[in-house]
Amino acid sequence: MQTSWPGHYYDGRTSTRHAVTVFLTPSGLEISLSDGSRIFWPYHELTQTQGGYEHEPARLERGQTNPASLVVEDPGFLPSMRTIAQREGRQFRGLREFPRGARVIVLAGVASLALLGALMLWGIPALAELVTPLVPTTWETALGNSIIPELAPVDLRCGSRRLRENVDKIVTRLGAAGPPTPYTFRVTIVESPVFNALAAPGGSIILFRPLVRSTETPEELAGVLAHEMQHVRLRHATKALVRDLSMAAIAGAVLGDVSGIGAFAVQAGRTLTTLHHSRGAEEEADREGMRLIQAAQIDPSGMIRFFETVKAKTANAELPGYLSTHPETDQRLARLKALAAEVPVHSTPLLPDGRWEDVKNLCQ
Amino acid sequence: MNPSLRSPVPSTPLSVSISSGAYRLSFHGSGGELFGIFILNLLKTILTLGVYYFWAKVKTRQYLWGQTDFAGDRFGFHGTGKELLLGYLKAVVVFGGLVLIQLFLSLAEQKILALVVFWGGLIALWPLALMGAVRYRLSRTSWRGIRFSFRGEYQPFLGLFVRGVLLMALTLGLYYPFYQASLRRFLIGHAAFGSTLFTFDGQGKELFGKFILALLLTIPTLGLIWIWYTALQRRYNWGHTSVAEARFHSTVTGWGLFGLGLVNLLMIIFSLGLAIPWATVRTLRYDCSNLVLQGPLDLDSIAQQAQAATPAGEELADLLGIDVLPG
Repeated sequence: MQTSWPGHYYDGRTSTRHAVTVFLTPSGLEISLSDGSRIFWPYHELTQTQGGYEHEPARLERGQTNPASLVVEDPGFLPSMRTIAQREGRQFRGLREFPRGARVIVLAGVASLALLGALMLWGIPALAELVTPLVPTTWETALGNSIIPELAPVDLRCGSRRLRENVDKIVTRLGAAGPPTPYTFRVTIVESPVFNALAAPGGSIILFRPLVRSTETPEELAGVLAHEMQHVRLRHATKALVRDLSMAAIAGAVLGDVSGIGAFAVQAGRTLTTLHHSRGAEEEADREGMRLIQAAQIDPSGMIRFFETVKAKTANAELPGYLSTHPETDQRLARLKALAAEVPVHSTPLLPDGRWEDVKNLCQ
Repeated sequence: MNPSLRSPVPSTPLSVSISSGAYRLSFHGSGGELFGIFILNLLKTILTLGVYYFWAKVKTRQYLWGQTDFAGDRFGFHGTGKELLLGYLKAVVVFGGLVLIQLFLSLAEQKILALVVFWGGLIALWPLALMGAVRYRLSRTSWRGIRFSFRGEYQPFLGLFVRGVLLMALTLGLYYPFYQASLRRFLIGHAAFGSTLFTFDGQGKELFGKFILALLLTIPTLGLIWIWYTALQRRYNWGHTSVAEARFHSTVTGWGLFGLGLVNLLMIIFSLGLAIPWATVRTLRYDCSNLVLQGPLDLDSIAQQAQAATPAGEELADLLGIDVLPG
């Protein structure tokens, strides 16, 4: 086996390039300089910092601050040194040879894709379930309050006292029937051309006027309110935020770009201002909403009738935006009807003395 | 082994060679190897839920530095994943703190104060991050065992930066050539290889005419003129960068950059991004093969003068998406 190699030595103090001959001995390297002097490097004091790749000369360093270094171009040097050092049981801190096999890389690529897919499909939703309960409700309220002015501009809010009192009555009855919750529900009705209802994190519910006016009975509105209150109670908006945050963090890490995490703010902001929920969240809010209606002794046919109105509007393509992520209205109606049939309710009217026809059209 | 063999090398070199030749840079890396590094980094990053990111960064840089050759010797990268992770945590505390204060103020209906605090904070952090990243990268780079370093201070750089940003705003961007030259003068003028300082003697006014011309030609050339301006600025900047008595010389051309960029773009698009490592290698090859250092320089007599640096600036720059010394 070859035991002497040409190389270059740098002392770590100046940039002088010394042409040297390197001898492999059982306990270390012997470096012979052109002036005849010799330096001995024991294997256990060496660190290999380069030479793990093809066409990369081997670089060995010795010393803590400003280490001296030795560079050997010949690709045969490192394997020989390793063989001799290992035979003597001497170790040095070496780079592992990079696995160059195409198979390893293809496998790693496939595994990465599979893991990423699994993370997106199961990992992140599971994480959101875990993390969301840890978010303090005061943060949710603050977050909700910060987006309310944007969603419900002050000059477009309905200030009618009679309308508010009637809506509040419904909310109070629903609230009293449900399990205790840390949230205070506040309903704001807004003048808008859009047919929609939103629940911000923390308990603020926004009803757009066309939706309120489309209800024929207060029981129908109670259906909408129960649904939105369950979004709040089940923290759907907060969960969506946590999900977006983790997605952005992963995307940032994968693309090798930490600033991608900054982009999460944009994405999270979008989630917050549209407050679109996943299909699963909508189904959950429907189911729990119906249970709340039943617990409050409200006639469940109101909620069903409301979604029949929605169905009619969707059929007329009046509502392209609203409910686009909501479950198919037919399935939704079927599920609600099944739930309503499960539990007989001895309902009492919501507003026996109020004239809903008049109330629902109030605003100023 | 005889202990007397461990005697150090004579501190004065035996042969002093001052040549006034041209010292060339070359890049030896291959797209295939870089691709392998990327994929394995990706897998490990996913498996560690992102923590490996910092070690991945070190792996990639070790490869890129180690494949870059100047006058027959490779560069070395000496950063560690652990220090980058700690730097990142520091950067997150600083930047996250700023974001939280801003959020808190805007929730407390102090919108104007929130804006002032946020933008004021960003303006203070930007030069800190830029300088920190330059300092970190230089201090972790070696050639022939001698470290690079950066000796600039934050306060004068902040002053320079704020002045530049104000003048940019007042002149609607026309100040740009002067701004980039002044930042460069500071950043390069405080960079050193061992005990030898770099200097930058370029002046904004010498690029100003061409800058205005490029502005005027932006619409007729659909913006392509800026590729030629970038090439010009790069040639100018390198041509005014020197180390000791030697000066850099760049041969980058507009057509060269255009061809490089076009082919890279097509490669990346048609491979759905898989060709990014090959594009990176092509770019580095082009950059290296178009840069030489000319003039009398004693490459053998530069003394070590290393300096400590923390990686917080590097990660802050990463968080803010700052390109270190573009163009």
